[in-house]
Amino acid sequence: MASSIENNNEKLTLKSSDGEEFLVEKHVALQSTLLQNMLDSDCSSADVIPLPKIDARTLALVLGYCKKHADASSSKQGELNSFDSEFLKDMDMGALFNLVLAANFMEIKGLLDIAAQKIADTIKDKPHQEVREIFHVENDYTPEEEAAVREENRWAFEGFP
Amino acid sequence: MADDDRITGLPESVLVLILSFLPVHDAIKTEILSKRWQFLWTYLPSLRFSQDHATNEGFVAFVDKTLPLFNCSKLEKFGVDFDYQSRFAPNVNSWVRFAAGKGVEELCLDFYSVAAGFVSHELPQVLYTNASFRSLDFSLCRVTPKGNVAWNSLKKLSIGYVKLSNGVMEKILAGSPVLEVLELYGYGGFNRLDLSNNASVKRLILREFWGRYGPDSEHGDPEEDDEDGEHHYDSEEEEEEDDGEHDDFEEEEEDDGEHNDSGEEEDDGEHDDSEEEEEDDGEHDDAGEEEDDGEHDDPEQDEVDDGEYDEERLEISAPYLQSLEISCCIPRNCQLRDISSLVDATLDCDGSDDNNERIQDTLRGLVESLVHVKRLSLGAQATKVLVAMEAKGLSSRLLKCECVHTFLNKPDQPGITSIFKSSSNLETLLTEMSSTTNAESALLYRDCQGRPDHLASIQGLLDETLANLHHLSAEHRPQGVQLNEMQVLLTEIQAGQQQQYETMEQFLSSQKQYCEKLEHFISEYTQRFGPPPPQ
Repeated sequence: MASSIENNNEKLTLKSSDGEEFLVEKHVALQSTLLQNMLDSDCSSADVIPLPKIDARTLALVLGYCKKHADASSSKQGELNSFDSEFLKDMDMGALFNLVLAANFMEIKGLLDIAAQKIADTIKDKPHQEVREIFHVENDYTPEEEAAVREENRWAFEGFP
Repeated sequence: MADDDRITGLPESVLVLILSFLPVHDAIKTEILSKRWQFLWTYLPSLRFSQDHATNEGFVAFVDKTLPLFNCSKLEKFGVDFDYQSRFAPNVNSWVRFAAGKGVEELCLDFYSVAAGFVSHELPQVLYTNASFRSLDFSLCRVTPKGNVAWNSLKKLSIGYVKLSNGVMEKILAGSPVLEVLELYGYGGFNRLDLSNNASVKRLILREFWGRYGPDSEHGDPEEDDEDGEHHYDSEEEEEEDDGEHDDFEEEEEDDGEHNDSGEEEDDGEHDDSEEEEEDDGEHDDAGEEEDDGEHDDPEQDEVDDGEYDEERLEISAPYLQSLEISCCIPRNCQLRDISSLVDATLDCDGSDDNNERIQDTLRGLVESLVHVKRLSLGAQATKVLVAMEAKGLSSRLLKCECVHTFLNKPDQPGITSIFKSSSNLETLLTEMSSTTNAESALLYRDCQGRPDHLASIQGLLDETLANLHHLSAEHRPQGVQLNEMQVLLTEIQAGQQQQYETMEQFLSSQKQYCEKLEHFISEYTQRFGPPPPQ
């Protein structure tokens, strides 16, 4: 997708954190509220738009999502739904986190939601220790503090019979 | 970049978003992960409480305890689904006020009533004037606005398992100027649905009409709901107890038509009082012994209407509506007036217990009203009606549709072929058949692009259905019919397993995947048994 072709009015160029350039049709780019706002303001579409937080692999995924959603008519909701679930299907956690960050940064609500949903589904019903590993969270409670927290909301931990 | 950088880099807004997709109690449990996570859950912008396996008391106490801990200043969604009983009314009201106070945009009160009846919750009046609501979803909630309704931002409204009235429907529609989707299920009590002043309403869903046959349940929660002894009541004993319980309806207020029910005819005598009860209308209807029908026509005057209330009548005027679904039980006298903008319609009453004979006329009228739509989906009963009309030569008026999806009960329904003939616009015909035989049998016809006037090939089929399906083959295809794609799909659909699809597209896309599997199967079949015999 990288391209050095001259931009015309219908396309704009995005540049990933690792320097790869992506030529994107404008209607596809408009899936991103961030880009939309940039285009609405005086940002010229001839400029290369740098996305310093998003690597090429992630950006390619994001643009694939945007293209699908931009091209599908609103009546194709069913098809989009199955595209969405396929899209994230075998993605590892690292890629998912990258994606959710990119969607957050570029303000692509639909993608943000499905990625967050997918992460939530993954951690649901997992023991704390595993969730800590997934999120790379270091447990900074002392054992006493942890017991206190647990006690405080005991009904959540034990269910509410 | 190292994973750690990435994850510590997840902004809290994203973490909170992730938590918002968990059931509330799972989200709360993440406080144990670390100090950073301890209070994240209190900023959840949307809350969905589900009872799951909890007891009623445990669940209600949990919600009561948890709600005050949330810090979010603005709530996007608030939802509760649980086994409602009337003694929880004050709790529910305080939750709802909490949510409304936080400017909630999507409110979902999805109650069910395990105990015995359809106990419903009277929504607090404060809810009827609210500019924040964008989506409302009420199940087993009585909607009885005393004043006007003002839902100026409301786009989607769904009300289930409760009877309404013409007056209530009018108030709702008048007060919802931007409403786009209206869904009613387990509905009844009104006989006019006039959307001609609601140009924004594009989609209407009517599932499971509750006419004289409501749910056959009685006043709810027999076992537990007995703050005052006389509520104690359950369906087996309804007859005797019945009267006893009438007196405790304090407030009257609206007898929306379900009274009819309260009915065992033996007590007719006492029905007059029915006007004064109100409280539990929702569940009355149900009383459901068939014997009461006799007396049904009766007491419910519909305030606004012409005094003669026919609960089986429903007239729908919807000149701006684009999508309509009428399914499960349908009102006996259901008429569509002015549905000129409609492009997508589903008519499927297969799931109901309705006697076939009794609804033939109704279906015929509805099918006739719907033949102009672009995409039409018909259940087996409706398909049968269509086929019968076709056979009587009414075909010229039928089916301007481009896409038709039908269900057949039997594979050998020859009329379906002649439907092709009268359908010059048809591009896609999708036929599902239910089969009582153990049919792994599947048939897929596919038309070739560029050879529109006959079927290119029959790709295969299983022997046991072979004979029945010959009539669908090439020689029966009329000249000039523009079938770009015709798929005849024979599947085994166990009764009750039929999925509901929101839109035709959804259905088609799910079927496409299925077709791919079939093709594989068919090619194996052909290899083993050779191609199907020529016609």
